[in-house]
Amino acid sequence: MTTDDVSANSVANSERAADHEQTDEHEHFKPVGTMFILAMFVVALIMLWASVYLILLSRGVTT
Amino acid sequence: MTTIDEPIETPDVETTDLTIERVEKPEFDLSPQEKRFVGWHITVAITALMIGSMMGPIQSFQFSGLDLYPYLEPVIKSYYQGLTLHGVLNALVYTTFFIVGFANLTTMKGLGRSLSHPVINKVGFWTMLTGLIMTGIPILTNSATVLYTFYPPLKASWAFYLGLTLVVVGSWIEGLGFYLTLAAWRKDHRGVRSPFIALGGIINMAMWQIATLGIAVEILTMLLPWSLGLIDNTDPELARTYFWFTGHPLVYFWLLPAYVSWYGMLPKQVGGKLFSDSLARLAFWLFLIVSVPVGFHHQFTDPGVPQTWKFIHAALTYSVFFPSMITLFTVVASLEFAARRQGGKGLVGWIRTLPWGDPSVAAQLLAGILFMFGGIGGLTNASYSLNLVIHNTAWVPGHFHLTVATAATLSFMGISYWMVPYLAGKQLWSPKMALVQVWTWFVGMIIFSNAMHVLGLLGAPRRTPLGSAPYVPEEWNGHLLRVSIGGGILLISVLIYGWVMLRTALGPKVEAHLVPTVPIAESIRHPQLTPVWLDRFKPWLIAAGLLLVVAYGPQFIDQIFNMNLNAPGTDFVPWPS
Amino acid sequence: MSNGEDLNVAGAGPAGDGLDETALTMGIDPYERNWMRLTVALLVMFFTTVAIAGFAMGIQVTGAYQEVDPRTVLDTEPWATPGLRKIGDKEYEAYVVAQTWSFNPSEIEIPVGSTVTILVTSPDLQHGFKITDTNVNTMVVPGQVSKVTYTFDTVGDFPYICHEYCGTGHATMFGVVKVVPEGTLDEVSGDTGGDTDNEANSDEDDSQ
Repeated sequence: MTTDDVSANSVANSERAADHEQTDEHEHFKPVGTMFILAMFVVALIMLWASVYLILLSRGVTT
Repeated sequence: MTTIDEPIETPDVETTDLTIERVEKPEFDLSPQEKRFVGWHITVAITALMIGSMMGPIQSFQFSGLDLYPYLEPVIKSYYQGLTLHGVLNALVYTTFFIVGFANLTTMKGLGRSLSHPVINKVGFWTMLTGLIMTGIPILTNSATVLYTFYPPLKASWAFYLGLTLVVVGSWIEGLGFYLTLAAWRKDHRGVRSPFIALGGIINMAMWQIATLGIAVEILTMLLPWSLGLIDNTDPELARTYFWFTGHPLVYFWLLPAYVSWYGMLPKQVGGKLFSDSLARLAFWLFLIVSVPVGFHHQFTDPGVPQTWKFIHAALTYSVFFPSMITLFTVVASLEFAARRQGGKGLVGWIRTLPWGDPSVAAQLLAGILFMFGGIGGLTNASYSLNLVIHNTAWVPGHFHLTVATAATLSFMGISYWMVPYLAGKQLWSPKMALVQVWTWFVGMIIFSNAMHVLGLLGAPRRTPLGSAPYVPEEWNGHLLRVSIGGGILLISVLIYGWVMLRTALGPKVEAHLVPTVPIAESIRHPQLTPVWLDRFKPWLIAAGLLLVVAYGPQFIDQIFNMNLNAPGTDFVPWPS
Repeated sequence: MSNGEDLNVAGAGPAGDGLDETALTMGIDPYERNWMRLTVALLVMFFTTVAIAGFAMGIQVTGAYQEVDPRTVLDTEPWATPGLRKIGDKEYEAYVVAQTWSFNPSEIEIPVGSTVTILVTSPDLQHGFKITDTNVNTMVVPGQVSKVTYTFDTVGDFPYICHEYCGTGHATMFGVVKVVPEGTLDEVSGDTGGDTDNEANSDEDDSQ
């Protein structure tokens, strides 16, 4: 039980400051590289998906 | 961006108290027996992978006219028997054993305790192994050449169906062992968030248990009695609906362990932290809910399923894209976070800062890159009438070789590069060769998969020895050759993999500090700040159940109440003997 | 005693704001929040585009049409005499039997611009039916009739290929739609009935 108390208390202690500092670490890091990679992904997604869509449209109407 | 270094260099609040905790709490590690138990799963898995993966390249060689089947005649009678082995061993056996073994490890290591009822997991494992042997014998004796979808009325030996059932039931039993262990942990840790890697693996098992109800009902109420001669006929359309109830969530069962590693381990391996604990958990819960009610997108071109239900399932399949897109952001951001704190610069230049020399990391990064294209293909497959272009064409295996055979398999290979040495108390034999393996897999798969996608768009059918099909136009030949080249490179890759694993397992025991440890990533924001509702099974299970009833209920009721058991199949064995 | 309670008490911060479990947020990074919004927007966009193809342009997948008994389907019309039937000006119905391991008929000849309603079923195993370079793509499931309508606007040969594994002869199971220029087609072939090219099928027919 003691170890659990330690863990819960230490967690709780860290929370007090966590609200300020931890989120700071988070806020200082701006994932701009990630956004760039994801933007490229979205471009690829749209282009590749659209290429299949255009094949579909070029192959006539099926009902 | 320049401020990135600052909070990391000063040991701040985030580390202080928790460091104390870590010092005071003796770190739990698996006992030798537990390591051996996990090791058995992984051994069976890798053995299945090695045998199954020998078949794939032989199929690919057939595409460009190099027919090796005459040389396999004593054992493998046809392309189709080889394909059955390839599909069952790689997609069902390898994955299931690896995933359950890995879940044993993440449950114990994540929760920091042994299984609460190890005997349950032992029973589960032996049930799975018995099932595997029962399934393997009819496949090897060519009495179950029905591929891994076993659509009736293709009739396999009863042992095949019973064996598959036992594999699934065994995995359920092991799942039960995990739930009980988690429950025991929670009793001792009220108010504490479940450790992510344990929770992720267990959510995956829960999803799997819901999903496999389809295949269980299919086998127990239709295929097994039929193969035993108790009933004469099947309802093939109903069987398809049962099968795809399981068949699509199956792909998430393969993927989620890779996600556990990408979210919960890879950040540690690259020297960083998990970017968002909350969203990692949210993604897993969303997979629990939306993985299952999407099966009709495999049946877009089925007669017997109304268009309305197909369209509804198209929408639901789209919703599965959402947690995967969260995963994409969170994982890439975790990587960027790690790279920047180690001095990575530039918009994309930081990527080079990642430890590409570590085969485990390289494998998972490359798996992730190819999975992006797997995702694009997946969205295409889900897009209702777009399915007309690619349904049952070579595009489909092209697609799932990016998902199960790369996102999952290459990640699992990466995991095994630390896990097998960890379990065996050894060092990885030749990380250099492991790196060669990882890169050859990546390159081989790009060539193979791209060619398959293109062939599919041109109209080439899947599951077909195209090297001897009479309708193949000249236009396809270049792509068929690329399939073979890709297959050849993959063959080299998998042989290296087997060799590295074997040499590692047979290598000398090394001192404890040289053995890799289990990488467990911390998150930037402490998990204790994650809302409680992201740590509770109940609301999500209820939501999953409700959605299933809405999305599948009416059509199941219709198909079951109007069941027509009238398809006997052929009165001869329809595959080559 | 419960650690959860400890947590709440101990969590009382300097500002007096206790760690209120119910007030926890997910702490989503603003960039990621935008990414999630973008994902939803993308999905809506793609889905709308799909719906347009499906419902505004009428490119549709097969639906539930008709159930048959695979054991007797070949004994009764129209499946007893599969083939092409002319039902109007440039309008046809093609009854196709997919069977181990051939299609009957294995050739369908029509003038360019014809609209053909294809109805396929199987008396034995599951098969597939995909006409190359068209949007005709359907499973063939014993007990079900797959119905697809398509207009052939281009002259040429369009193979239809079995794309579901059905055993030994799967890789050789195909047929051809021959779309010919107008006026080159014998009127007689407008209604061919059964196709006798296929030995297995004619045996089947004879025995019944």
